[in-house]
Amino acid sequence: MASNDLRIDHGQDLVLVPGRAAALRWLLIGALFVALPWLIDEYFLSQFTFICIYAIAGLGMMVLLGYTGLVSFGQAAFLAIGAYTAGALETAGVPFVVALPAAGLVAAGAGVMIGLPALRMTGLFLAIATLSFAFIVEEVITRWTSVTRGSLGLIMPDATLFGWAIDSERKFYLLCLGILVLCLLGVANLLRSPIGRAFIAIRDSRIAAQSMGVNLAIYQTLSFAIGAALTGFAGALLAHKLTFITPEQFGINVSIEMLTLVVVGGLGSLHGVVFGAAFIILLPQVIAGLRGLLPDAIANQTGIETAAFGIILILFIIVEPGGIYGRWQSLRRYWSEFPFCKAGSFKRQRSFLKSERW
Amino acid sequence: MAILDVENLSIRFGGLVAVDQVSFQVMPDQIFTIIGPNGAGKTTIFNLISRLYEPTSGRIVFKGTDITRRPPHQIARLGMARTFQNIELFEHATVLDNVLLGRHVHARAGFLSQLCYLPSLRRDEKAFREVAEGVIGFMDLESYRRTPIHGLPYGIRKNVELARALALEPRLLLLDEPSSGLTPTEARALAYRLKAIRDRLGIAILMVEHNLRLVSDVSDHVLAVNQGRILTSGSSDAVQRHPDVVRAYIGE
Repeated sequence: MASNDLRIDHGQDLVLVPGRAAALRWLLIGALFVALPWLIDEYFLSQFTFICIYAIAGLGMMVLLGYTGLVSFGQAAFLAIGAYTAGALETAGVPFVVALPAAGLVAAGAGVMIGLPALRMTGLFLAIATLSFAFIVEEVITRWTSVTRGSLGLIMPDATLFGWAIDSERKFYLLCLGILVLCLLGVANLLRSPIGRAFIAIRDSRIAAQSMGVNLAIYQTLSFAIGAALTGFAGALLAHKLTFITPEQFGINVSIEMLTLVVVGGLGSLHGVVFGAAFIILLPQVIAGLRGLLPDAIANQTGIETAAFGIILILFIIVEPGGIYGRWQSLRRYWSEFPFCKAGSFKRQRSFLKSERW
Repeated sequence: MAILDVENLSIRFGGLVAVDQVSFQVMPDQIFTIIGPNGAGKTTIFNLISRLYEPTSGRIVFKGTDITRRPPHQIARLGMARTFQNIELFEHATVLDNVLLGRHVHARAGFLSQLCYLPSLRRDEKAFREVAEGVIGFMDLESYRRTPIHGLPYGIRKNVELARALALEPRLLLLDEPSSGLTPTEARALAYRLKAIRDRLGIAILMVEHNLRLVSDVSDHVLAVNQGRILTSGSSDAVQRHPDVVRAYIGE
């Protein structure tokens, strides 16, 4: 660890993975995830596919809320736009390799559309505007039957990659994993570039960002475009994963899941996106497992999952605003200084989400 | 030739005329200080110059360009940087990242080269870091380089904010009460730095300041304002002895 701290060239600041130990760790983690289809059965692998897809969608939300400080209650709309763009194109015979970027682009276009008027809004007003946008998109998809088949639903053909059919869970998982890694790398690159610094500047102080030459209009719109594009990619993949899509699958609860994902994972961290996605996908499994243990009157209530999501979201905001990743970091710090740690140095700094953003 | 030329600047908030027909000129090698009691309109003048407020009337000319109607983000691009009275830093970013944002106006790389971190961006980023580290050294912030702002004490934050403004390599620096909240030792270090900024870096400084010792120590020209109007202007000693200024500060 110490050798990494000695810097003799600014180029050392520019590498994504500092030092051999970290590179080896990432290699091992990567190998584990690539080998996963041969290690676990198809049902669990399917859950990991969902985690990858949700992580890509959550990445979009993280860019928006976690890095630019713009709240969006309309992520379900971008997901739906991505899913239906891919669905409509592929039904018409367009190959998956074209439909996937198209899904991202169309969603990005929608992101710009909502981003431009949103320039005059922040916080609660932006939340309401994006929420209404999500309702409008859901309604349009339901009514535009010639393209979307409305509530009859759209059946997705198998994805093909340059003539190679993605026809098994195994192949589809690897595809989603690959796209997730590419998206993570792209966002990580943006965040350590001028664009990422401008986003963070807007999040932490709009007035200072402006005075240092950041054009709020351009960067907020860009943030919306990137956030929407990523969610659009995820939508296209989700459509393939579900094989059958209807408008109801992209309701308000999906937007709330996205919000929960980034807050629980840890606002302002890329690790948090993956942790948060795992949380969102695995929590219903845990609840299903616990159902048998609960008294019937509670276990058979509808909406138990939604309630659990809500309660956990509130608890994280109050107790651990750093999310799972924040908790993980303080644990690591605790162990790295193990015999010499004192409780006080690991107490959380009181930094709630700034109220003016809400 | 003045670097900043303010002509008959006024702003009215409802019935209150916060700044009334203020005119002054800042020369390129000057430390120009605005003094005045609380509520005199000093910060309002700053916010007008950095275009956060829309003037009711008047004209602001910076380096020969009329900036009266320019949006605030273009002001930085023209070479003007500022600090804030109540420190506006990026709380959850490190000191280095805060200072690097000062290079924002010099960023040239396109979206794709940032997405893929192409060699051209790498070169830019390296050059940005050279400037940023130079400024960090000048402001004595080396040991805090990787610390997020929210854990830092007040005096250090003040220095980070000044460092961020310097990283822009401006021609004119606007400092809103640079010494407020500093210990006497820190204030002395500040006086030294302000002179170094003027003499070594060749940057003009326009500042609002309450610490009259610091004002006399560094200012080339002092402007006294009260209730939005200019009381007097001139050398530091002359202004501080002027009967109107004395009256504004301690009454009849």
